[in-house]
Parts: sequence; structure tokens; C-alpha cells
Amino acid sequence: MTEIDLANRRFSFQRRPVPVPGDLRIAWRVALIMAMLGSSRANRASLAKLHIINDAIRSGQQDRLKTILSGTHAAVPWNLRVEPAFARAVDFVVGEKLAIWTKATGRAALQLTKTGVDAAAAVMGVEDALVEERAAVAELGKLITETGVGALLGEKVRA
Amino acid sequence: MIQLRHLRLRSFTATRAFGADIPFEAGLNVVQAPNTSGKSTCLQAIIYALGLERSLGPQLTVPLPYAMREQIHQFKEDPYDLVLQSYVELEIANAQGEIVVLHRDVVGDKSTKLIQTWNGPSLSSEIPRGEQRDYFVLDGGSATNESGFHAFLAQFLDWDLPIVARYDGTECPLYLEAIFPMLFVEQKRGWSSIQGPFPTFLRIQDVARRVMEFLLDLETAKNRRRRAELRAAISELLGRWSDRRKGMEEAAARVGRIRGLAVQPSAEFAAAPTLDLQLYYQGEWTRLADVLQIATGRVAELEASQVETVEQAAPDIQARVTDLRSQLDALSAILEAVRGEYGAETQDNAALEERVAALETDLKRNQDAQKLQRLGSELGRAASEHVCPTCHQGVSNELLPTVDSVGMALDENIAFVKSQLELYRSALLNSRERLQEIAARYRGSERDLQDKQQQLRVLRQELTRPSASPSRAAIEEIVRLQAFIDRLESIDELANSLLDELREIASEWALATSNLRQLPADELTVADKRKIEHLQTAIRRHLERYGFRSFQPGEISLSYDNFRPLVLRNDKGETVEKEINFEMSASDAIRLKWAYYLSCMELMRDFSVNHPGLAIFDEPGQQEVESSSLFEFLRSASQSAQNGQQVLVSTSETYEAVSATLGDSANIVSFPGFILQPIGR
Repeated sequence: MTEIDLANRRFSFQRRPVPVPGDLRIAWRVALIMAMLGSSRANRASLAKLHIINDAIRSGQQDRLKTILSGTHAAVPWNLRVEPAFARAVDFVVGEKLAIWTKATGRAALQLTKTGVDAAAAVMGVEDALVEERAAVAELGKLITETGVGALLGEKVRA
Repeated sequence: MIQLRHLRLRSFTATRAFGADIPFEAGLNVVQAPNTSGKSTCLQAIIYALGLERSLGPQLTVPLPYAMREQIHQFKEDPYDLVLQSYVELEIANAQGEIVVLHRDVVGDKSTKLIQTWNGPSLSSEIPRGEQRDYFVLDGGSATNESGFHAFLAQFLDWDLPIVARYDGTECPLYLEAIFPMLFVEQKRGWSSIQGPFPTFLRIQDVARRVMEFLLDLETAKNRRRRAELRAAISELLGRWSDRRKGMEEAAARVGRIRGLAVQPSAEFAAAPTLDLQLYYQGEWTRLADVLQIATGRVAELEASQVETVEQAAPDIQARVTDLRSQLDALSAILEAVRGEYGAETQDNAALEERVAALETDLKRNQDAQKLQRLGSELGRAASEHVCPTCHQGVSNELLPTVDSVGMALDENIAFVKSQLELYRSALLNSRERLQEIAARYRGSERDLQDKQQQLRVLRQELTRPSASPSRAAIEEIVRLQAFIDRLESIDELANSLLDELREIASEWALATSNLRQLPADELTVADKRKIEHLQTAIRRHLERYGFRSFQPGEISLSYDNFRPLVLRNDKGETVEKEINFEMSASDAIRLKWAYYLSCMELMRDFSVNHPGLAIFDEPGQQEVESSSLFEFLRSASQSAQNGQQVLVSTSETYEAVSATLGDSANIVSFPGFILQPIGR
């Protein structure tokens, strides 16, 4: 095939789908956020807290976070990583009106709406998916208080 | 076989004792008494004495009326007296002629879960009671435990109860409670179905089929059991094989590697067990036997040679020292290389393991995402339809950072991850094998190196010794080689003993699998079918005598799956089997039940069956069935029970009518009033 031949042919490009890691699936991450908010007090959690739990679950360090929270190793630092994909998922959650922006202890926070509460219950009711994640979220959601979030982020506890 | 010989009921109040004694004989026994006089009490007392009340249902209440439990009176008009103590005793015999008396309290100090037994006919003849043995019923283990009454009873009947599957996937023996409804038709529920009704709370799968298979002693049940046993044996053998194989591999890894030992036993291995134990010896993989041969050959050679003096041997020793030095250099270099290889492979291995773990997590998450799709729009349209809730544009890039890429569909993505996982897992497996091999090679080379270093040391010492003394180099080499040979031999011995065990396992496995293959498929054998056909013919014959009119008796056939009666109907020119259901009149259902039970019992005349030759009918005159049919049934029953079998019937037909029908062919026990009457204390 010469160059001329090639020049005279019609090209068509087809976009091939790329594999998506499971944790970058909207359904997976939105369900996880629902579970996080659903397990937090009053169905409300600050964005910082959500980021912390998300980071712990994604990096598989739930147990380490639990140890830190239990207070016996207060000196262990927690290096928080902010994940852009998580921020996008939060946008979807807000866009879907599953949660609304509010404030908690002076921080930006998410509060589940009524549909959000239903969705969270539905996620907790799916028996065969997110088994480990749900267990971790249920525990961490109750364990991390908003004051605790401050401590984890290295803020000085307000007097 | 079982025969009931004597039933005794006792009920004591503060002032009086009530009781009944009913002797039974072989053949037909009729308990004749008016209604509400206690006939059912008698027959239920038999169930109670045998500890089988749960064949009527899961309740643990005593299946006996007030007269035995709470209050009793002599005549209808009398006031009731409180029952303080009461019990039931039953004398039974088996095919070997062994006789045993059973005693169970209804009211009293002793637990109702206790059944006491005595050998010998102490009820029917007043001989003193012998040694007492206690058994328990109703508690767990009653059917299996040595002191469980049903275990005793099964043994007494010479029954080897089959193990059957339950709905929850576990197994249990076919409990006597499940079998007994095919021998005893209880009045309140017993007439409601042709077979049984079987207790459902035992949760036995296909209970009707299992009970009938057992009672008729069908080969298919034995085959099924044999198959289950063989399967269990095979899986046990496989477990032992892999256990021994692992032991073998571990032993081999200490010196080298093993080749040609299959993961599973095979008939080929049983016939000619081969095992290739290899050693990394002087730079290549060599069979253990060959290494042994070389070493022993060298020892023999050394032993045969003359012992030289140091002076004579010096030039030779010098040459060997030089040679050994260069060999040592080469070996150290090889070892270094192998060590490097090992390190690289370990890293490779770790990387692969990490990759597999990551892929597994990813697969799990994608699968979770797929399961979450079930929630539909509950998680919003972005998650379910991939449409942005704000701008309504497609969001098929999921949460990926780049906007211009399209995420794979979930199914495709899962398949993609799975295929990768498969690839990496197999790579990991190969890498593990390579690691093992490198480690073995390393050990081999290291052994070689140490060996040579020692040789060098010996030779150098040798050169410094007085020139006239005998050279010790050869002797030292013999000693060293001998130690090496000993080590190899001990491993060889271990391998041989393991090999014997493996061969034994393989041959047992081969035998079990071939036996399993030879077992016929799970269906009725020819002999079984002959039994069923015989049973079917007998049922038809009985039905003809009883005036069965809903169908032609010849139309009744038996299902091959659980042997319930079906009706043969002509459907568009073809004969098809149909369920009987509602097309049959209520009285004909009773006739069919008589026919079915008596025919099952009769089968023991011509075939070897487990049926104990006992049938008990509590008030067979159900559903306004005509007296003529009932008397015909009684006549049939007395004929059916001619060969040592036993039929018990209770009826409220008049004594005159019953005795006119049966004459001397039956033992008629007649009670004009209440069966429980005052007795002398």
C-alpha cells in the first residue's frame, strides 16, 4: 500500500473504552459516600471527615486509622491524601440531590436529604456487595467525631 | 420383624387403680368397643410405649387422653378422680424370638423420656422380671446413641437405618418416626393421605421415597448409599494423597527437587509407581540413584587402592590443590550468579503477588459496582444511566480524570480484569516454581563448595606432614563420601516409604473410582421394578375385593419416584399416569389406604424386605365406608397376616358382626364399656 493509496482512503477512528478501576465507578463511590454519611451522626459529616474515611478505605489502612483513633498511639501521624475522583463523586452526590451542603463545627459538611437517607438505607441493605467497606464505614463513621477530624488534620484543639 | 404380644395400661388415683390388659396374637387382632371408650387410647399407648409419638407431629405432649394423664372415672355418670400415677407397658418380640417388655411412665416420678426394658415375656406370662435396662427417647441421639431407645429398637428389629439427606444439607439416619406412619394409621390424621402422612419437622428430603425404599429394601437405595460412601472414601484418599505428596516435596526440597509426582492419584501410578528424585550435583540435575552410584563407586575405588606415603602422593596432591582452587573460584562465581538470580526472581515474585492482589481488589470493586446496579436510580442517574444530573451530558468516563476517555462497560471491565488476573496468577505460579528450583540449585552448589573447601583444607594439611607418613587424603575422602551416601540413603529410604504409602493410596483410589463407575445410575434396578410391579398387582387385587369404584382397580399404578398410587388414564390415544387427587371419592381413598398398607406388608411373603410385618389401623371404618367393604377388609387382613405378620384393627362395629365375619380367624378383644376398668390392687 503506497502513501497515495493511504491518502485516498477514508479513515475512521473508533474510540475504544478504557478499563476503569472499580473504585472509580460512580456507582461504587456514590454508594460508599452514602454509606459514610448514613453511618455518621445525624446523617451529616464534614467533607474533611469524608476524605479521611475515603482515604483510609482506598489505601486499605482502616485498621491503622482505628488504632490512631483509639488514642493509644496518639503520636502516629495520619497523612491525608485528597483524591480528585472523590471530589467528583461528591459533586455527583450533591447534583443528584442525595445530599446538600451545610456546615458542621465550622467546616463544610454534607447532609443527607430524604432521598439520600433512602439511598443510604438501600446501600446498607445490599448484602453481597461492599461487605468489608460497609463494615469499616459503619465503625469509622461512629468513631470519628468532628473534633477528632481536627486532631487528625493537625489542628490545635480549640480551648 | 416385630410382633406385639401384650399391652398393659395402668392409671392410679388416690383411692383406686384402673387398668387394661390386652393380649395380642400373630395374625389379625381386633379391638372392638363402642365409641369414646378408649380404643384409640390403646393404640396410641403402643406409639407411646415405643417412644414414637413424634411420628404424629413435633409436639412433645403425651398422645394419650385424659384417662391416662389427668382424670379418670369408671362410668360416664361418675365424678372424675385425679390421676396420680400411670404407665404403659408393651411386650414385643422380634424375628429371632427375643422378647422384651417396655415400660414408660405417663404420670409419675420418673421422666417421660425414660423407657425401661426387661428381657423375657413377663407381661404375657407372670414370670419374674430379669435385668432392667434404661433407654432414653426424644432427646438428641435417641436414634444413634447406644443408650437411645430408637437405636435399641432398630437393632432389635435388625434394621440398619440408612443415612438420608435433610433440607439443610446435613445428613441423619432415617428416623423411626419417619418410618412408623407407614405401619400405623392413626385415627385423627392418618387417614388423610395414602402414604404416611410423614412428619415434616424432621426435614428429611424426599421422605416418602426414602421410607418406601427402606421398607421395600430396594437396591437403588443401597446403591445410592454405596455411592455416597465411595465418594467420601475417594475424597478422603485425595486428601491423604496431597498430604503425603506435600511431605514428599518438603523432604525432597532439602536436597534437591522432585519430578513426576502427579497432583492426583492415578491407576497408572498404582500399577507402576515411579518417582524421580533429583539432586543438583556438580553443575547439573542428576537422579539421586545415579549420584549414589557415583559416590559408592568412588568409595570402592578408594578402598581398593594402596595407601601411599605423603612423599609419593605429593605431586598428585599438589596438582589436585591447584585444580580444586580453580574449581572453588568457579563455584563461588556460580553461587554469586545463582544468588543474584534468586534475588531477581524474589523481586519478580513479589511484584507479581502485589499485582495479583491489586487485580483481585479491583475485580471485587467492579463486581460490587455491578451488584450496586440493582439499586437502579436510587443512587441517582449519574450512577445508573451515566447522565450528569446538572448538565445532562454523558458521564461514561465514570470518575476518570480525563474527559475524552470512555469507561468500559461493567461486564466488559470485569471480564478484562479477570483475564488479566488469570494471566498474572499463572505467571505467579511459574515464578514460585522457578524460585524453588533456584533455591535447590543454590543449596546444591553450596554443598559442593563446602565439600571442595574441606577437601582443599585436608590436602593442604597433608602436604605439611612428614614425608614418610601414610597419606590420609584418601581415607578422609572415603569418610566424607560415606557421610554423603548416608544422607542420601536416608532420604532415599524416606522417599521409598512414602512411595509405598502413595502407591497404596493410589491403588485404593483406583479401586474406589472403578467401583463407583460400576454402580448403576440412580434409578430402579430390574429387581426393584419387579417388587414394585408385584406391589401394584397386590394393591389392584385388594381394591377389587373392597368395592373400589372411583377407577377401575386395573388403572391404579405406582409412581416410580416415591411409589404413591397414580391412575392410568387414556389421553388422546396414549396411556398416561395422572395424580389421583380429588377425582377419588373419600371412601375410596380409605379403601386405597387399606390396600396399600396390606399390600406392602404382604410383600414380605415373596421378597426380602425391611417391612416388620406389622400394620395397625385405628378405626378403618372412616368416611362412611360401607360395612360390607369394611368386613371384606377385615377378612383380607386376616389372610394377609397368615404368615406370622400382625395386623391390629380397632373398630366400633358390633361384636356380633365382627365375630360373625371373622370367626376363629382373628383374635377379637371386646370391651363392652370403658377399656380402662378398676382392677384389684
